[in-house]
Amino acid sequence: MRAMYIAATGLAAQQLNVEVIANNLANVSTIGFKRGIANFQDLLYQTLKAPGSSNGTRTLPVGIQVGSGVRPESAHRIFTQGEFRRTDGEFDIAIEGRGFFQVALDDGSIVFTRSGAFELDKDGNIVTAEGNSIEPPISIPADTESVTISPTGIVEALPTGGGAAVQVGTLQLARFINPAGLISIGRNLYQESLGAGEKVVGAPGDPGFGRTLQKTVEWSNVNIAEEMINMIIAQRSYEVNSKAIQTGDDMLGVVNTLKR
Amino acid sequence: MNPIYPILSGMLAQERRLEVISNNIANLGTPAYKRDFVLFSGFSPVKREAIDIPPVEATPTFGMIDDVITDFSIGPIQVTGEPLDLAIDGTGFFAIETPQGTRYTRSGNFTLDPEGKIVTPSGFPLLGEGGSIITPPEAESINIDSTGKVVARTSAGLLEVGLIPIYEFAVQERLKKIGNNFYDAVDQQATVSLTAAIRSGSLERANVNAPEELVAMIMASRLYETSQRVIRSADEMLGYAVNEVGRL
Repeated sequence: MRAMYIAATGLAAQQLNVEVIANNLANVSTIGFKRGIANFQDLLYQTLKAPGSSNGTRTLPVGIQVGSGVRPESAHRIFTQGEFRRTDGEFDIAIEGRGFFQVALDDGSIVFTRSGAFELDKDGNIVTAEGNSIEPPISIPADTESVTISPTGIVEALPTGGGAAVQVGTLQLARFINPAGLISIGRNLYQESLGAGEKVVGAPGDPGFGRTLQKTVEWSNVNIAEEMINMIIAQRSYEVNSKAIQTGDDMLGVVNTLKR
Repeated sequence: MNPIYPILSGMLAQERRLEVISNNIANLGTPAYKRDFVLFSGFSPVKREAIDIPPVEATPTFGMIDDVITDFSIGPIQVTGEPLDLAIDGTGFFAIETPQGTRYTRSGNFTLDPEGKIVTPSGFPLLGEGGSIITPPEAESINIDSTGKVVARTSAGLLEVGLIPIYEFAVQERLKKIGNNFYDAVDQQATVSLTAAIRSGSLERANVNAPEELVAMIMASRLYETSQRVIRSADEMLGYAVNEVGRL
């Protein structure tokens, strides 16, 4: 009963769909999280009678083609802007528009993130919550009263004893033509890949780059209502596929009673 | 043994029908998937005077599947907000460049490749008016209007980068499904549609109606059972003929 195998591909596809949706919902309040989406495509068709072939007397307008189910085509992220939330953190920075912050990992490799909830480490460097420095590194002098970050990424420190603000560095962003091609490595980080295209580095506000907003974080772009609807549809689709398997099983049962 | 074989072919046809139904519901989540349905040929009557015609023609074609037809009605449109999700409002197809030649699809979940080309999620380029459409790397956003005009917004202003035509066919039912959401035009010539419009930020979902498929599934299963009952009755009659009549 081939129908059961066909429906099984549908079960697997809907399971992947639910997994992607569950991950989106789990990360609904993860800063800078971008929702995932699963794409499907139909599998090959078995052509028993080709459309347009001839049966001797007439050209057949349609044929007999039986499909073999579904397969996942991709499960990638949608990089639309998340909403902004005001915070009091001086080093909470959101990107309004395109681009990623660059983070240097312990092994020296550069990875990318939209999650701009940064901290200062004991030496005054701007680091991620896990202590990895941003790239290029920016350190804040010890005698700093407050820090301002401009929309173009210029970081200025106001000394405690009064006096003029000192520019201590400029944030840099990286952008990719196809961010959906980046590899998610967890912890809100993305890794370069051939699919994402060449990395382009620039300052915030440069052509094609977003601007930086201080004391703001970018919330996830997950819409709970939308994910819930998607989940209902995925669950019902899963059920219908299981019914097809059950029907195939029932029909096999009938075969078993053919001979008494 | 005469009644058993025709009924058996009817059972095989119901099995095939369940395969088609299963494929429809397996593709409930496939964008712009078009459902298939089966058409059964009528029972051709057994001719009593068929003794002298060749055996091939004398074989009755009981309960065969005549055709599997694709229903090209438009599926529900889901608004996604992604500029590269394109739904076709009206009949027609996008043309896709594949190594095997031009293929057609209604599945509009496009993305960009590393060179900025508009491609399917599997990486096959969408064919614009003059070949594939390449967006500039410095583009801040891409807009596609209802006529298929692709405009990139850059800091230097708006830049028109291509036009997406929608193709239609004289008889779209004759297109051949080849999987991967693609259709093969076979021997038909594609013409540019003048009526279809593109809706950016929307995706066409599968036109599979789950309750309808479930009813068809119940029908297939029950007809299969009925066939089984008939075969058993025929078997009983044969058994009577062989064991009881012979005793007289």
